Formats: sequence, C-alpha cells, structure tokens
Amino acid sequence: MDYENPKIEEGINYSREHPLKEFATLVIGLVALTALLIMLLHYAAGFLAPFIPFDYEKKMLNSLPPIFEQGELDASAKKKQRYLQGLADRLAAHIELPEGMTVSVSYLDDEMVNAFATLGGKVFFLKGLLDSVESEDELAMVMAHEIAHVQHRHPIVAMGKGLTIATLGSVISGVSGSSAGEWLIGSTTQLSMLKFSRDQETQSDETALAALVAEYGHAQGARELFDLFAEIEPSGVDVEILRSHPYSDKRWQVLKAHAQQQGWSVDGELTPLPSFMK
Amino acid sequence: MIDLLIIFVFLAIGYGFGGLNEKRHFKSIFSREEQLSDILLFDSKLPPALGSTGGELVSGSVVVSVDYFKRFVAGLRLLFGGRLSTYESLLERGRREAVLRMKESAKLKGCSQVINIKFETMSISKGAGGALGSVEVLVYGSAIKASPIVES
Repeated sequence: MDYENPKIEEGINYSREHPLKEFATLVIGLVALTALLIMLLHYAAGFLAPFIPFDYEKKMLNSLPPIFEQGELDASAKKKQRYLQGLADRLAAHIELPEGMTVSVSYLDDEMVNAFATLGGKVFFLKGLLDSVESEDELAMVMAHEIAHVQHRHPIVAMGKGLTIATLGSVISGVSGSSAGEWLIGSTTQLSMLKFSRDQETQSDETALAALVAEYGHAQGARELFDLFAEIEPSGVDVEILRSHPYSDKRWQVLKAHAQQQGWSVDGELTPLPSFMK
Repeated sequence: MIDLLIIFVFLAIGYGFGGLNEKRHFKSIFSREEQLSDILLFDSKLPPALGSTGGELVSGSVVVSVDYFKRFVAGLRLLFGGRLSTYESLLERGRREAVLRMKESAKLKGCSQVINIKFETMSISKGAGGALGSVEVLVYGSAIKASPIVES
C-alpha cells in the first residue's frame, strides 16, 4: 500500500473573505443597531419624562448635590439677582408656562460666559455673561432661552434620556465583555446625545425669540447676542457633530429666517443695562 | 477625538502588519509543505509497516499572537455571534506551522515517518486580563525510520 501526504485543500479551515469586509459589516451593523436602540429609548424617555410632575422635579433638585454653590451674596450681587429675576418674570409672562411652573434665577460670581437651566426651573446666570453683554435685550434673549428650556422640560428630559441610555450602555457592555463593542457603543451614544442637545437648543432658540419680540418689539437683541457668541467661540479644529450647541452664526441664520417668516423686525433700539449690572 | 485617532492608528498598524505577516506566513507554509511532503504522518499508534526502527518523540510548537485589528473584529463578533474568521486563519497558521516544525525535527533525526501524532492548543493569555491574545499550538508524535513499505 502506498502512502503519501495529500495536499491540504485551502480555504476550508479559514475564510478567504477580505477581512475589511467583515470589519465594515460589523461596525456598520453595530452602529446602526445602537443608534436604533438609542432612538427608541430617546423617544420613550422624551415622551415619559414630561409626565413627571414639576413639583417632583423641584424635590429632585433638592435631593441632588448642588451643581454650583452660590455662597453668600453681597449687596450688589443681590441687586443683580433681583434684577435678573425681574427680567425672568417679565419674559415668563410671554412664554406660556404651564400651571405651577416657576423660574427662579441665581446669580453666580464666575468668570465663565454662560447661563444654564437645571431641574425644577432653576436658572443660573454667571458673572462672565453679564460682563460681556452690552444691552438688556441680549440678556433677555439668554433668559428667554433658559426659560424655554424649562418650559419644554429639557432638563428632566435630558436627565431621563441620559440615565436610560447610560443604563443601556452598561447592560450591553456588561453582557458582551467586548472592549471594542463597548467603545463603539460609547461613541455612538455620545454623538447621539450631542445631536439631541443641539435639537433642544434650536427649539429653545425659537421659543426665546418669540418672547424677545413680544417684550421689545424687535429681535435686535438676538442678533447682537449671536454676534457676540460667534466672536468668542473657539475657532480651530472643530466639527459640529462633536458640539452640544449648533454654531452661533448658524443659530442666528435659523432665527433670522424664522423672524422673517413671522414678519418680525430684526432691527431696533436696544434697551441699555442699568449701571449696577456692570 | 484623540481616542478615536489612537484607535484608528492601532487598527491601521494591526491591519497593515498583521495582514502582511499572514500573507508571508501562508506563502512560506505552502512552499515548506511541498518540501517536507516526503515525511509521512500517521495518527495510528503502530507504524503501517513492520520492521520500522527508532521511535523518538518529536514535537513542533508555535506561539502566535493576534493583532489589534483581528482582535477588534473578533470583539465585535462577540456581540453578534458567528464565525470568528479572523481567529480561524490565525489558528490554521499555527497548526500548519507546528506540523512543519515537527516534520523538520523528524527529518533532522533521519526519520521518514511520524506516528501517533496528537494536537494540543492552549491559550496562554488566560489570566493576562485580556491584555494578550495568544495561543500555543503543539503537535507531537513518535518519529520512526520506516522500513520500505511492502505490500501485505
């Protein structure tokens, strides 16, 4: 009997398919699946979160650690805070806040040019912002924007979405034990959260513009404000999908178109800030 | 953003070097299998012909590691299931290389057959916390000097 070493048939024990093909299929599949799941949870959380009573939201705020310690306010800071609260009340009258919803403004001695709304209708205004604006109109645009966040229940919706999606992320990565998958899911989640954030900003901008026009009769303040933001916006390597807010000039373009559609004037006399605000 | 860049660079390195290595390795495997085709392998405990002499343990062992790209793809596969094709080619190379090394060692001893061959594969990345993705493939058997095979 003759023996010989047979030639091994190739391509049975290993695949001859191009590895990049598999890579692409897997990456696209995972990203699409994650995006789909996030969309689903996003809408579910966004739909359910507004049903949380506003009172409960206020209580939640008290049970969470404070985001910013306001500290002891001196006389001039108290005066500024009272003025901001007055401005908020005037603007809130133009924005139809649901029954029981209130906005309370806190002034913070911080150099950052920023203002933000949190749970329970609490709005923070930072010293840096007060220092950089020139007129009351600009402040009013920011204020109306923050009140709009409160009206649309954005803080609680964002928190609901954030918690739900974070849970999804840890469940998937916990089950799979795959670091590659975890990383991909993490990135997709982050990018989608930023997209939602940008959508919220656009929605609030439109509500705010209506309130601004109702109060001052024109939208000059918004124009000045976004000019200011565009100026201080960091330039350089920067893409929109990595941002929490759309570009300032884009925000203004959207608002300008909106104003034209509504027949609102974008030019007008600016109301100066009282001297104690500087 | 930096994270993304780092991962991309690792993937490119893994894909480039890993792919090149694999190509070269397969080429070398094909040609050496041809060269060593005169060494016969048997899984039976006894030689096919009586009168064989010798009987020495010969072994071939290979340790191969996966590259970053292969591991990334395999990591994604873990979510969906299915054929882990990036690891399959790695193990195929490991097995065939181990057989070749065993044959080479048998040839050095002047033997023409290896009987009773066994394969073993073990992961040597266990306990390394996933920092290492490598396996050892071991083939061993008894090398013999066969008497001319006669028709029985």
